[in-house]
Amino acid sequence: MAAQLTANIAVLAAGYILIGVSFGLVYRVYRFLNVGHAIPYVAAPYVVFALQGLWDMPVWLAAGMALLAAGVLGTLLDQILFRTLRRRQAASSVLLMASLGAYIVFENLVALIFGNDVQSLRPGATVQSIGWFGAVLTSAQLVVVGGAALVMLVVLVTLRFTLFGVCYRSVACNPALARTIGMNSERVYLKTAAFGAVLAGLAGILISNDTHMEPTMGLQALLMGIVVVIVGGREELAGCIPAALVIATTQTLSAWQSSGQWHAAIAFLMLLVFLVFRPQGFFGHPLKKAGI
Amino acid sequence: MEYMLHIAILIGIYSILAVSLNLVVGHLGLVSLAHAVFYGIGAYAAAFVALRLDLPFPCGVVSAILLSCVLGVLVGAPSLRVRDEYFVITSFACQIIAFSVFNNWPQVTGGPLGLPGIPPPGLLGWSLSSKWAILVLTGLFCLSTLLIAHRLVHSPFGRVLKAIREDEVFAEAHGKAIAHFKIVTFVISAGLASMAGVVYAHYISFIDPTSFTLMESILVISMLIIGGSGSLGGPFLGAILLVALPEALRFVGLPSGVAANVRQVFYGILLVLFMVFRPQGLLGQYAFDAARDKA
Repeated sequence: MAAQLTANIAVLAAGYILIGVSFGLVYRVYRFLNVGHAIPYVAAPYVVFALQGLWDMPVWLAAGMALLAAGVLGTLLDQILFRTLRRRQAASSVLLMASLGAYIVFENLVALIFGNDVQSLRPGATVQSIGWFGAVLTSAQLVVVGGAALVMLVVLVTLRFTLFGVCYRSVACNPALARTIGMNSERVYLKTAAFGAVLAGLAGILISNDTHMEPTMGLQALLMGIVVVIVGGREELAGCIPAALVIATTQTLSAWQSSGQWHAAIAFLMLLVFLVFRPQGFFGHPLKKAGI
Repeated sequence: MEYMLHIAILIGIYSILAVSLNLVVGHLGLVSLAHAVFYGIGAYAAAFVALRLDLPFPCGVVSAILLSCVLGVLVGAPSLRVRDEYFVITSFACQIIAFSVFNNWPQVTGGPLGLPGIPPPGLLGWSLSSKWAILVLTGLFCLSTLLIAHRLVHSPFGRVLKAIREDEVFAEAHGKAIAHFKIVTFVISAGLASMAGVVYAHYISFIDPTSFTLMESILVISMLIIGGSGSLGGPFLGAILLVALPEALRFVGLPSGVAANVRQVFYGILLVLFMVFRPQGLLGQYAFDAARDKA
């Protein structure tokens, strides 16, 4: 039982890490709650679904094209919508509402094309399960865990050791100063939007492959991403790991003890507790009360 | 005619919601996505009082407002300690938790099946079962909401709210207890919103959790944004536009399965366009660009 619970926690946490890292990456430079981040998350699995359904494409090729599509969508959204608003120095609530509008449009377009029903990326496929110390995992779940570890590693290494990472960190830290020393902050926004969208698409594919997909899944996933990033601390992406583990553990244990219906409420209750008592998250520095 | 009355009643209900939310969004400058929580609490309280306690309609109204105010304090207190986008997230969280409670507490809320058979509002022995009567009742509630909002905004209290919206630190530096002002406004807004829920529950006679979701909160805030927040007529105009325009889609003859999605697409496009081209809305005075946001 303990082994199975641990395995379940690991899979759930890995999913949260995948969503959280991609959202946190974008959130640190955007500085507003980008609801549009859910667009590539929904788009990618549906592209895989369509490509496999239409032309019977091999999985790796379909997934690659879906990630490409996710990146393109994220970039377009950034360049067409957010760039216009950034240039106007729009307030963060304006950007938030605009991104929300864009997401609502997209979600319903997907629903109009593919229908509102729940769909599966592997219809009728037999589930391969792997026993391990008394816990049973499916291959799709193992891919989620592996993917989360890989994504976390790639993101941390990119931000730490590449030129893009340096630019990213300076824009995230102080955009005005970064511009002053001659950094092209628009390029950083563009690259971050593309990178974040690809990661969101990857999260969407891996998680939908494990469970199922429906047009409304984007907002639910995004909300979990927000919870993970805030609880982990928005200034340190590695904070997603303990945050995802704590949330997944609480949810799994409570579902085991009572029932699964309070899943969402528990995560958001933890978010409220963190926002009130430790708004900087696990790793963050204390926030200034007034940002002037 | 019946159909036109139905639309008018819906406009009335959404006007109450938009006008009350305007106090928080337009006058206090805080984007709250939890307004459907209080809408729902009003509806469930009214339904509970009418169905389980078998008390007359005015008791339902009073208890809905009281319950909503108490929960307004509970929801507002933690969320008002944080600022800007953190407030948005907290209100998101409250909305999700409230939906979860509506959905998972069958003893009181009927769970996902909802509460059917809520009687029409009765007053001193009359039963207001015709649509005209309900429309008059909605109009009365709507008018009182407007009056309260108007009095509040055009009082010294309202001027402090405006100061908080424009520059919170400045208001605080001038000795205003901003937490107090925020919480009182939030509670008034919550209490007013619950009236919309009461009317809705008694009018439709059936409620279930899907009427009080995040999308509903988003719809109300879209009305504000499109009509114009911070003004008195703006929320009204927004409610009229967003209730009436999608009804026009009915006459195009879309199949019902598609109509809901098309309507949402329409809301989303409007939201994006207004944010890009006219963030202050049609009649608005406030474009979410308080000085502190301009880094």
